[in-house]
Amino acid sequence: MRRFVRDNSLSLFFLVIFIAALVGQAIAGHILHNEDATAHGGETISIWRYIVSSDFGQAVMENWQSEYLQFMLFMFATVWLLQRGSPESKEPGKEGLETLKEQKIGEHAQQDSPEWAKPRGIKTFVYSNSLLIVMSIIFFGSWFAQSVTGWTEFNSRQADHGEAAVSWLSYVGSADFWEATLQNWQSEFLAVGSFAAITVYLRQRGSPESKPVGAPHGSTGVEG
Amino acid sequence: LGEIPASRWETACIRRRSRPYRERQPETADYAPRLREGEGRMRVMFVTWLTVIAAGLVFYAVIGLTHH
Repeated sequence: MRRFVRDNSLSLFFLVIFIAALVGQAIAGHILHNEDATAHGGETISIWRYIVSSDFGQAVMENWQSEYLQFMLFMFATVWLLQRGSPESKEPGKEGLETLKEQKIGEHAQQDSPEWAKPRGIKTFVYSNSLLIVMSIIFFGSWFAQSVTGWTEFNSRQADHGEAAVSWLSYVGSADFWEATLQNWQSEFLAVGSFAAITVYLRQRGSPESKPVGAPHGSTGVEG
Repeated sequence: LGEIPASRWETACIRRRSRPYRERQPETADYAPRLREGEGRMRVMFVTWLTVIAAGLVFYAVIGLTHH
């Protein structure tokens, strides 16, 4: 057990604080929802009813989609684009998909390489892009979930104001949907872009996200 | 370097502590068993995270679609 915790401490730590933050969001969101309902003469709801509401679902999903968009874009962009001096970037001259030998694919696979890296063909192609594929599925899945929960919420507000409900397609073209989407995207792009540039000159000793403290500012793709 | 003869490329990688050298480490005979040893434990977390994400996506997609 102790070994399991040590070997997985990074993902376990984030799993615990993810659940704690989600519970905190549900509690705070529930209080806010009921305060709003009371102020407008509406009915208050239980926390369980709030958790299974589109109101809470939209708030969760719009953040999820932007996080996975960030991963997806960063992974795709770093295949082709560089930031000289950044530990997040490849070295200049290595742009692109790299050779089979460099990627240990097909006849260059080692004995303990994943099975799908060994044959040449569709399996290897899928496995070669599996991280991007899964991140894309999660991104588009959570963006879709944001759209349908936001749509339900939007139509609920429309009904409160005595206005007609809109179709899902109309909603995904609305300012309401794009304001919720882009406010999350801009913060992700800011964080990723600035991180790539800031890590050229700043260090965190012991972190693989940083270059070693003594590494020159010009060295690229070097982890601490 | 174990069984791998040190080439000029590898020596340069070691000096720079760069990623290519780290990725070559599994080629050494004594490193591979240590890699396989923790595979089951890593798979638990891999499956856990993907399950949490998939459950969240599907749950709220259904909530939204059923006009909850």
